[in-house]
Amino acid sequence: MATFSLNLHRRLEAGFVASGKFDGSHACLTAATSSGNVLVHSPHREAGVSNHQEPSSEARLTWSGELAELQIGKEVTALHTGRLGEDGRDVFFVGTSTHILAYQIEDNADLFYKELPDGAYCITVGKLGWLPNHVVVVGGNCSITVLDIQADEVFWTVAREKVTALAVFDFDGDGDNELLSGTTDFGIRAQKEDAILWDTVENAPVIALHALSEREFAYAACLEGNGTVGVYNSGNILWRIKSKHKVITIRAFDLNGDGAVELLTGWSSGKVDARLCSNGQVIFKVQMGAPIAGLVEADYRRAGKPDLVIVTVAGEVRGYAVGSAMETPELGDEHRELMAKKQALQMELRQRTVAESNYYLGSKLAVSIASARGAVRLGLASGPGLLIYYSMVFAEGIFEGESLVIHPSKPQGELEIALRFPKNGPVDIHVKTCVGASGSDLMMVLELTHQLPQLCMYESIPRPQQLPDGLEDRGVVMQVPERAQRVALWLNQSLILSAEIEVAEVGPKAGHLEVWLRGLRDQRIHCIELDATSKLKIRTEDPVFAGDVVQALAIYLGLRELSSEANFPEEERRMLDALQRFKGYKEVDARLQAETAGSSSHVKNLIVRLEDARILEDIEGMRMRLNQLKIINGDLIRDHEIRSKSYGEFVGALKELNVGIQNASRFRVGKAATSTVQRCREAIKEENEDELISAIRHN
Amino acid sequence: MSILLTRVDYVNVGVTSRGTTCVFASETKQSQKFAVADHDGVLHIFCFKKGELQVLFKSLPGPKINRIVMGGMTSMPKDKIFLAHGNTVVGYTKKGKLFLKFETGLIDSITALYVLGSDLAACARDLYHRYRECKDADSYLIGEKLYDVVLVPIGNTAVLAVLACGDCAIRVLRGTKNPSILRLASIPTILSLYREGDKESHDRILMGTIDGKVGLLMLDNEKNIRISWVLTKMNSEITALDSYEIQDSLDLIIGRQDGSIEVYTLPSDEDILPLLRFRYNAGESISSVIGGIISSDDCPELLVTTYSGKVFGLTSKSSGFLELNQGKLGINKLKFEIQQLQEELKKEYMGSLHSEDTLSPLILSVNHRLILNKEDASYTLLVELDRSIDNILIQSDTPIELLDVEGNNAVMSLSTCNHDDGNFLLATYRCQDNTNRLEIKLRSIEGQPGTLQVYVTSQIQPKCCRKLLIPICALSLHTRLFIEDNESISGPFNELRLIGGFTLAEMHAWLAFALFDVPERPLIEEGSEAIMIYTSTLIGTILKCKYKKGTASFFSENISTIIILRDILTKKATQRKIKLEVFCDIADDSITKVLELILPKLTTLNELVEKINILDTLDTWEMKNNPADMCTEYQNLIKNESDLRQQMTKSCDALQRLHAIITDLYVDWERAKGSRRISSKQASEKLHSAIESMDMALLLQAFIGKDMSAASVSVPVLL
Repeated sequence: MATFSLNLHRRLEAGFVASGKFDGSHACLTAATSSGNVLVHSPHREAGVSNHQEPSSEARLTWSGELAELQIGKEVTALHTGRLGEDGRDVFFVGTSTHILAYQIEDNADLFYKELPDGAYCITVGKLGWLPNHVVVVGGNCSITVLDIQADEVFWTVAREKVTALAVFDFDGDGDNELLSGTTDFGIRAQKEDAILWDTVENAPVIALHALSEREFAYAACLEGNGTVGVYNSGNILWRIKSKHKVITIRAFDLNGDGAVELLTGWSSGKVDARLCSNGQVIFKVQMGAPIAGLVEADYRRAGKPDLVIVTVAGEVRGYAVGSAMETPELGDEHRELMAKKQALQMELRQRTVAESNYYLGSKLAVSIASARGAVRLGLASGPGLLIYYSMVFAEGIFEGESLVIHPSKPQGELEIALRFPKNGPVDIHVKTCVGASGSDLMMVLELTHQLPQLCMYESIPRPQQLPDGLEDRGVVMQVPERAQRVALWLNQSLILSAEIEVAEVGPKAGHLEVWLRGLRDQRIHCIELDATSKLKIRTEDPVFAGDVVQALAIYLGLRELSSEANFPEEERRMLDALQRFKGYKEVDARLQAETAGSSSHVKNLIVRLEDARILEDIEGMRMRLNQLKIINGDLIRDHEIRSKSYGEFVGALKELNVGIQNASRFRVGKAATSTVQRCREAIKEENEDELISAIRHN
Repeated sequence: MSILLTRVDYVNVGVTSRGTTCVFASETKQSQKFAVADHDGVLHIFCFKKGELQVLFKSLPGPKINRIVMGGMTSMPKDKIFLAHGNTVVGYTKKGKLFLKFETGLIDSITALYVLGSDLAACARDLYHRYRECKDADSYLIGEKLYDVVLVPIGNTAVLAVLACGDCAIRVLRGTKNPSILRLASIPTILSLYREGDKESHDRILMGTIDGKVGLLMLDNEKNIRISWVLTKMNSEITALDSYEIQDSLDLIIGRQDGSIEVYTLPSDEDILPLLRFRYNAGESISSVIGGIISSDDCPELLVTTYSGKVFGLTSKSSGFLELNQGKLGINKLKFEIQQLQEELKKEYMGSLHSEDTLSPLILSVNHRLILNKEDASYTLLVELDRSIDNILIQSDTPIELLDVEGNNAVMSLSTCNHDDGNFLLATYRCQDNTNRLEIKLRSIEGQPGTLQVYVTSQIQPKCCRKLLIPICALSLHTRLFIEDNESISGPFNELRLIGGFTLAEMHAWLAFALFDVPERPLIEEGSEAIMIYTSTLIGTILKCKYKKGTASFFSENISTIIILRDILTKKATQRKIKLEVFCDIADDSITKVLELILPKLTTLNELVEKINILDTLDTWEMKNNPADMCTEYQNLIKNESDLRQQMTKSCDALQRLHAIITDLYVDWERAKGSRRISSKQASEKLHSAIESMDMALLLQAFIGKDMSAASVSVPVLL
């Protein structure tokens, strides 16, 4: 049962709710509203305290009763509270697409306000293992920035896409906190400084990460039309569930009072459920009247213990105390469950007597997998007397939905499924094939689970007669301290091959490996070459391919350090171009800002004149001023459009740069990768083109 | 007023049809015996002794049992069981002794059964037949699907038959002539005599409908029937009804297709509506609910049977007492049984390598129903399996739009379709654990008939799936209209006349491809002519079909309806190699009538969209907190916000649909009137401004007025 409930009577944005003790002892609730404002609700605030103080010039908060509003004026993209340094008070952080604001609510003053060109799409506060103090971690467009209390950047790294979820927690159980980040390209990774300890790919953009206990964390991922919640322990998935509703937020809270936390999930349907971290079993659920805006922990009743506070977008706030969902096991329920189990077993027994006989008609499904003609081709053939009615492939994040269905117009004996994966990486596919006799309406469903290797979207080809222009010297060159045989083993694992790749033991080509590949997505030719001196050449024009190969190979061979020389002229040109555009934007923006300032002063002026005309009852004058206002308003809107367009380009350029850095770092492993990132970053800051190119090319 | 009932599970049987559970009367206030029959053809008779369930009798498996009813001497409480499988009626005593086996000679299998003294009424498809002492007494061909039947005695010898018919009517029949008809708003699916304890009323009948309404019917001696009261709240279909005193007063007990069981107070006065006292959801559709004293001697309870064959009680006994009674003993026994089954499962798996079982029991029973929702012109497809569903694949060879349904938690995914393979829709619904039933809402386009193939896969290994074929008619969004006086509907009609060598039955069969819910047999009125009237759920235009051997005429204001009908009927005739002469009479002012019907809808929708836009803007600017500052119009908007938003979700894309209807109308109009074919893109370009203006005159001008530019691009073709 709820311990309290109240209503803020405001519409809140889903996902932007946080709580904190801004004076060190009283819990407050903060939430973003639709018009770019932030609301602070402080039920225990003593009215009139701040009225005696002189409103300072930088005070952004205006209190009215229990509520205060913080005008941001821009769409809020992240909201967080947390403690920095020795101060017992929580600091309030607001992120927008350009800035981060750290605010001291009690002092009604900024702690800092810093421009972040990558934007702030998620913020968290914590103590990272490799840094001495508590820090603010900010996830932006393809980057993660770590700031200290003075707003100085103490750490920076790249990510493949926009970073939308962060968590600071002890991933490997070594006593130090690692940084966990989730991105919009479905990735989750754990890192310690620049060393990536673990990464995985989920089925949708990751929107939330939350530490549960040591080595255990929960994640939430969302796409249009569905949402997933799951728990990982030491990098292994414990469970995940998918719903057609979207996940707004997740939080750990001990709702049943057993001493261990449960995972609470707030859904867009207005449902909140609590699941056991170990197996995902629902132990509690409640349906709210509106979509959930956030779940926070706050001691709102001043009971000494924090309650779970549910906030909906309609402004409804409801609190649940620890232990409010006690389990009361009923004998009747157990009895019913057992009855259901018995019925299921009886049915299985029965189903077997019917379906089994079909099995022994020799109906095994023949399956073949090949990389050919632009796709990974899964061939299915049914046994004698049977036809394939349909085949369903479930794989996350590859198709438009979660499944691809092949349904021939008439049941067929053979079926070919063309699978096209947008990205490299191992893919688990789950195929359900329905086979049955012709004209029957009861069929059997044969299931097949298969993991496709990392480079399944590349087919092995003989050495082409004519090499594409420039392939000779493009690519990555590095020294691999391993024999060619092991690299060949890795290739056999990572490709779908009709015949295994072998390395000649004797003869002129002994210890020499040369494999030519054609990408099924773009038909581009790549070559992996290893000579007897252990020099590995990846000849390719595609930096992503080179990066994927280097990273996968390093993991397979257990290499911790790997440096390389890279040559990708197109990529370099693109980076330089992006750098130019990046510079250009800054100038354009300054000019446009000046123009806007001019126009707005003009508007003020006109309004004063309009007011004058009104007082003088000069109808003609009023009409004229209004017309002028209309014109200027049009100008302002146009200026704004130009600005937002050029800002969009700026973000694009910056993203391109960050992706480039990411690619460059992926040609290397360990320290070499770290130093590449840092050098690139420096070069971009200084706008030094030569330095940037050199950082990409050499170590 | 509300009561608390606790669920106690008793036993599992095979898949059950509705109305296959009976409770025997008992003289003293002792626990009553009950009988359940299932699709395996097994009749079980159970009783409780010392708090434990015991099987008194179990028959051998046989054909699927569709219905069981109680019967016996009129003066005594009913103590005999009559069950129907195929066209046979079998009688058992309460001890399980077979005393009657009666082949009725009906062609179709019996779907509804009733026994009163020596009278036995059986309904098969659209035929009602009554037997007295197993000899033909009377029979009546309704021509509509029959859902249920009840016999009521009048005097000492005569009986009245009350029939629930598929044309939204209750018919009361005495003898074989002229039934009196009571029209309802929806199809009645179940009839149950009002009873107080063991005493069954002779003039009051409880009735449930396909759209979840419940009512009480009053009958007088002269076979006049009227409605006493109706609970008009729309809901899931009623599948079981009873009246029984659980606590303090007589209650109305309702079981529904969606698995809910509801208990209402039964008012003594006609003006008072029943009040809800209890609700429970079993998660799968309810086959029967009956009140009785079952598990213990002094506690009334509800005996429930579900589709998959779960038999459980909802008892008024306190749960603490339950635990004591059922105790650990029962649970241990169950655990032991489960262990045995698991072992057997292992054994069976090894053993069945060589054994060839020719007597394969029925598995994967799928129960499905397609319902047309008149209010938003969409279909609801209900699919229920007798076990957990793993996934459902829906394939369609015609464009179908799937709509989101609240309460359906399955993850839906649309797959890319290759139109060359005849796939216009491939959607998978991956179900959560323990889902037995799924509700899917879909929308079809008129004029694009096709077939849905639904593959339902069970979760139990080895995985199997069952395929369902569901036809989508050409005029899928038309619904039957029941007007006694069909001359009263007026309006300028376009007429389609077909003359050729077809029979009445052939034309009726062709129409079944074009229209949803066509009666079982042609409804012949005025000599040899059959008449059907349909109305469009989208815009409310009428379609009147009059047909007899050799000629058929169709009247509609809507030219699109006429064109679609012409296309499908000529196609069917060509398939049968029957030559047709086709005449189309176009009434010029019919277009005005159709536009008059559409325009108000268009205006209301436009207003709604505008209101929602205003509300959204107010939201963004956070101006809703002080409504007092705003004009009254906006204040009203804010007051009715939840209503408006609800309306909006209901009619989310109705505006586009209406636009498409007008465009289609124009295309068909040009085709019929000017013998020109234009693409709908051209039409929508031409009509765009007129539709936006929502002005009758402009629209009419666009339709009728000469437009040279359109003429130059169109290619004249023969009609």
